[in-house]
Amino acid sequence: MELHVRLVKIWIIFVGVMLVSMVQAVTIANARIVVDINRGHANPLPIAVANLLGDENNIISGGSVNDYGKRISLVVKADLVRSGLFRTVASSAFIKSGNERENLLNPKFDNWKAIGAQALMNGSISVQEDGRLKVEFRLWDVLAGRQMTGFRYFTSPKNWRRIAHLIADAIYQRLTGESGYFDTRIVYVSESGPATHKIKRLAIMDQDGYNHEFLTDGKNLVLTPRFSPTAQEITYLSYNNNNPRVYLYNIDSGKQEILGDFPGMTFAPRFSPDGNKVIMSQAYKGNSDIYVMELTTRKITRLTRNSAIDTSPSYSPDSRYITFNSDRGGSQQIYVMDADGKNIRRISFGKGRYGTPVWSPRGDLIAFTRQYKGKFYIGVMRPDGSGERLLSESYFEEGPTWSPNGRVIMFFRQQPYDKNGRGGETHLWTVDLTGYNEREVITPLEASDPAWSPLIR
Amino acid sequence: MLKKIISAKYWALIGTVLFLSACANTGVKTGVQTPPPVKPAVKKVEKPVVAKPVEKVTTVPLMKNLNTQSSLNAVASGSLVHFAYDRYDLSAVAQAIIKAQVAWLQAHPTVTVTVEGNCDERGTREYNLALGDRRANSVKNYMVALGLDPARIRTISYGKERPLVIGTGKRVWAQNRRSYTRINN
Amino acid sequence: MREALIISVIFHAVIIISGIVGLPLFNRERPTGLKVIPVEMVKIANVTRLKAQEKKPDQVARKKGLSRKKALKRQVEMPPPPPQLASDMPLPTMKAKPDFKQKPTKAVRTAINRIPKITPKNKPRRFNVGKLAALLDKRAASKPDIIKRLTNKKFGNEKVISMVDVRQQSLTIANAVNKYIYDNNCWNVPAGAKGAAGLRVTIHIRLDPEGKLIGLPKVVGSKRMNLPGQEFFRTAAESALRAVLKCAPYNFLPRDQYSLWRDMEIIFDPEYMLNG
Repeated sequence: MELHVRLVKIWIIFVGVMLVSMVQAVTIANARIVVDINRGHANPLPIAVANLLGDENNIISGGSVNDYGKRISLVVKADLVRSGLFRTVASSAFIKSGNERENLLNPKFDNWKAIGAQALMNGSISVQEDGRLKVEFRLWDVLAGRQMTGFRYFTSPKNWRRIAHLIADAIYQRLTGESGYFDTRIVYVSESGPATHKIKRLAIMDQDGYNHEFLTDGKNLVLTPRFSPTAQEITYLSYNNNNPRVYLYNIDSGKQEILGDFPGMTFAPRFSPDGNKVIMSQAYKGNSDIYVMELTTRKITRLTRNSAIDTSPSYSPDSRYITFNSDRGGSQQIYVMDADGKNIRRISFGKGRYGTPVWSPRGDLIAFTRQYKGKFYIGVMRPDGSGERLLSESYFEEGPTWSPNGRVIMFFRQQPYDKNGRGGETHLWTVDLTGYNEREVITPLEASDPAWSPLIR
Repeated sequence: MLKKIISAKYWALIGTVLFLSACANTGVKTGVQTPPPVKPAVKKVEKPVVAKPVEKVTTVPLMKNLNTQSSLNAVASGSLVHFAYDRYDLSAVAQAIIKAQVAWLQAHPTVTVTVEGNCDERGTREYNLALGDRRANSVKNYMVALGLDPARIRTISYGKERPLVIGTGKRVWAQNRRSYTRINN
Repeated sequence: MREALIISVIFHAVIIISGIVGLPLFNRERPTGLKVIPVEMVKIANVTRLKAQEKKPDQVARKKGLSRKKALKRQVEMPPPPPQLASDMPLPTMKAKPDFKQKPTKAVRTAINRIPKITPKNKPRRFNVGKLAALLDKRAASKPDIIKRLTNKKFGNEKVISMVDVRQQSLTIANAVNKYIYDNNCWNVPAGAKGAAGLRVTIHIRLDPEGKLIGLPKVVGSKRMNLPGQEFFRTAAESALRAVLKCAPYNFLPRDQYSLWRDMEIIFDPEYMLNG
């Protein structure tokens, strides 16, 4: 029995030791390595955009159904690449194997992975009995080997570009988490002729420069067009009868009307976010102040009463605030006020002059033009004036307008004249909110005063 | 400053001569072929779309208008007033030019004018529209202070839309920051 | 009874022996042969230079500008010339000529001289990814201090020191993975996500001794990915998943320390990239 007692004692000690070491072992095993990563790359995501498969022998107006599929894929590619967030894998690198139609639903992910694609778009196109196109596409995560999204669209063949933009928007949205901006239009002022007497016409085009149309004939000087939130109306400044006033233009009917009966020049118009009001400046007897007009009742309210220049007003997306520029402090600077004109406070305090504030559709930023030491900049700041960032810089640029997702800013830039008086060309440019991916927007003539439409519904 | 005025005067002179010669031509033409068709080319330069009543009236006021503008330009430094950067106050030189304009206008009591305010290209468009309006009104107010009937003076701002001179540099921009007193017809 | 006693004795003996023999082994086995994986600490200058080499947007733009003449020929129906020369608005009647003809050289020089050749001290700050990287790297550079602090601390107890060594080794491995993922461009930071503060994504991966992934990597808290309004989190999580998948296999890790890295958590935090 004694042996037994001793054994039990030893056993108890042993178990104690054992427990301690086990706890330690468990702790060691549980000290799982944690890798903390906070730096990455902002490289474009490699995506393979396959041509939409269609019947080559089915010829409709404008080419075979398969040709339409190719064209749509090309426009999708162009949209995605222009955003700067994507890089398309050259279709010449595509590895072909098996039946292409069967691969639509079961892509051979290893083949796509092998050529460096991380996402894949494929799909098909056909013609319905009613003559409309039926377009299907799917977006695949190549590395994880699964579908991310897919949609089907129906439309008449002449609308094929919109389908492409809608597909690009869907891909953009799924891969970035924010809505796209490809199915949108730009209204701007097309310029021609020498600078001393430029001919200016209102023009409208798709966001990528296609489907271009002139809206006015150039008889009157026109400036600063801006879209209504439905993208059906444009408000702008026209020197009709040599009397500069704010006008309203209906895109569908082509009807134009003057807004209000002001004794002085009205200018710098912009719609309220709900589209029911137009906010603008009136210059009367040498003093410019901000007014707002209800479109249904035509009631006019004066918002600022100051001997300074108050102009370029823009509503916040929630309609609660208005940002504008004023020289009441001695030089042109940006201010914010409540929508009723109260509580005016200055938000720009950097060196130089600040103008043309435009509230981002997201509400978190205000884009502006800054003029400093002989250069012009497009920048953004938070509505309280903090966090200023300059995105682009040149001899002259101004007039920022936001893409509907608040991700891209379009503006116009003028080149300086050379010593022979040549140059001075004015064109539209876009720049990403990060300050990268600066690109020119191609227009048939010179261009200024761009305004980006909301997403077309 | 003096140099600028001299050069402005110089150009004004050339402009005047050009216009006079142009007038002479049209005058001869209208004299030869008296009847209806008013030369569209002439109309383009001087007359806006306002429909004109009868043929016999057309030729005479056309001559007169051109002459009056050039005669105003001749006495008042090309009817131009220049401004400093982002300013609309009137320098002593500017005041002298406006005084000359007012003197001329008081001698021609039937004439009404439009004061056009302009800016250089180194500013944002909308701000410049407002600034141009300020400049035009600054000139108008001074004219009224000198005794001219405000009803005879209209103002308009072209912002930076109608530069006088194309180019880059301080001298160019200084020439474009101006008001121009145009005689209405 | 006797049989049971014998079995018990044998059993206990085995346990005791294994305890006496095994425990020290268990302890000794751990951290003795500390292998240092050569992890090059990325210095601020290095990354800044790296960033500086990136293609500048302006260059791309300029290239585009060059090809614009060609692109300009896009077919657009041009409008007829306006009915009147340029509106009812009268043109400047003065036929003034550009100023450059008078004293051309001087005028040109003044124009160019206006552009300051040296960047003024108070030049407006342009958003700069290089600066952003520098900011990040300061953080990274502070890491060795933590390691140093850990190693230098005197605990006086051998076992605890060995734990520290394990931690140090783990840090080295973590740094290696971090650097590998960065150097191989595996993580593309989701661009433009708003509210980046809440976009930390933790990925749990399991590796075989070859460094290959066992199964698909898992997002910790993956339910959030499919909630409405969490599109940015889903995007962030997917970008993290892609990063982990793209960088596999992790065959650079020291095989003799497999037990340390067979289970890893990789945290991707885009905040510094987005809000820098």
